[in-house]
Amino acid sequence: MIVADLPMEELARRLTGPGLPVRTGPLLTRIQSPLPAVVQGIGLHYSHHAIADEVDFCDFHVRVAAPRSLRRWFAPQVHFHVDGNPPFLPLPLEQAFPMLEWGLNWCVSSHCHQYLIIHTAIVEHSGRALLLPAPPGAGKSTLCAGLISRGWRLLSDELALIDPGTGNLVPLPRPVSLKNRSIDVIRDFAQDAAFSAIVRDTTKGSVAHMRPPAKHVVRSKEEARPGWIVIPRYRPEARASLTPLPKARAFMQLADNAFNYALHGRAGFDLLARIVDACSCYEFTYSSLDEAIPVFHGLVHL
Amino acid sequence: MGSRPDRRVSAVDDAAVAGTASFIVSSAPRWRAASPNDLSWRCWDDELVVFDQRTGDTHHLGTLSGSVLLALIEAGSPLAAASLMHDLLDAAEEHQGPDLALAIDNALRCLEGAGLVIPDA
Repeated sequence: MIVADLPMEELARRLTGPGLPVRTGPLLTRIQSPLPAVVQGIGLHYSHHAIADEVDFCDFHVRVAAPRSLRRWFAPQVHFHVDGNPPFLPLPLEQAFPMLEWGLNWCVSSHCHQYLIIHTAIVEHSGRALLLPAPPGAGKSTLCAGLISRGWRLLSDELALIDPGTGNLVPLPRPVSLKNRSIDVIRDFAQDAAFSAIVRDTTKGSVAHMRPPAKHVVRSKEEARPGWIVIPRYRPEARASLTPLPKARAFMQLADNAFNYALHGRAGFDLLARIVDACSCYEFTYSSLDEAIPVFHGLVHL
Repeated sequence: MGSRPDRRVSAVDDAAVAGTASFIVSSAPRWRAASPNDLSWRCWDDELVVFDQRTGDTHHLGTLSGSVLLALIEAGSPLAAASLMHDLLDAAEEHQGPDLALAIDNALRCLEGAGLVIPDA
């Protein structure tokens, strides 16, 4: 059963009540929320995600709800709880759905240490994974959204899960988070995609989410072997430019963007080295998706 | 999102090594790799990344610094800078003569700062 199989009233009832166990990649999360924005957000963005049986073990139990205080009505806020505990300060109520997404990212990056986790967008083509590690504002989510609209499969827009045993990249397809100008850019570029409403005045500026393509979600169990590491950099009016990156520097980029590299110790070092060994490594500067996409298609055929 | 664990990654590149500090080159000090059994490394295109099991730190070394470290590890016994200079002539194309001696001395100091080499007592 998938989320789309539930009528909206039933979806709302289950989210408000016992919670809904939703599978995202290898993880199972029970989500509870009485908030209409969250119900609508899950109905839209998780429509093709599987609902687990009630007896299945859940990796996380999360709840997004208004506080039981005056803040329920005065300058209303929203809390994110995981396993009954709030890891963050509350946010304005209108940021409820983005808070769910940020909270789920936190759950994974803070707890899923059976994987080596890297802060990167990651897409797949022909069985090979393209990693796009970069700091915020470098354009990786924009590039990720553009690529998945042009034949690449979404593994994640935020978190690469690397299986230490196989060295494969494990899919975690969830909504793609877009910020500020990239929202309009992707709306124009991917006119068949579904988007949430824009939420303004967050700490990241204006935020909207793009629904992951259904055909990518249903392939959540298909892992990818490492193929390319590309460090993207958005630069206004720049021509698309792909230049080789020394592998030692690519390694350091991955290590610097890894959430739990230190926890994995020497095994993490060896694993990252295997990943880098297997990848072609580049730096990429761009200003236009129309110019950028063909460059990546070219990588596939090298 | 959550904070990443505090972990040091450092770059000891040849640009830093070829700095303006002046050292008197002397063969008297001898150097050895600090705890080579605790080090893991990989080399790509003459650049080295080194993991130090003792600290969890990862270091990115340029050609000369990496060559100095590997020479000390391979030697298994302390070496003076003059011996390193002789062994590394091929690896140090950019540096010749007194420049090479200075560069090796600087490399050793930077590697010492990173905890990867220590002066032999």
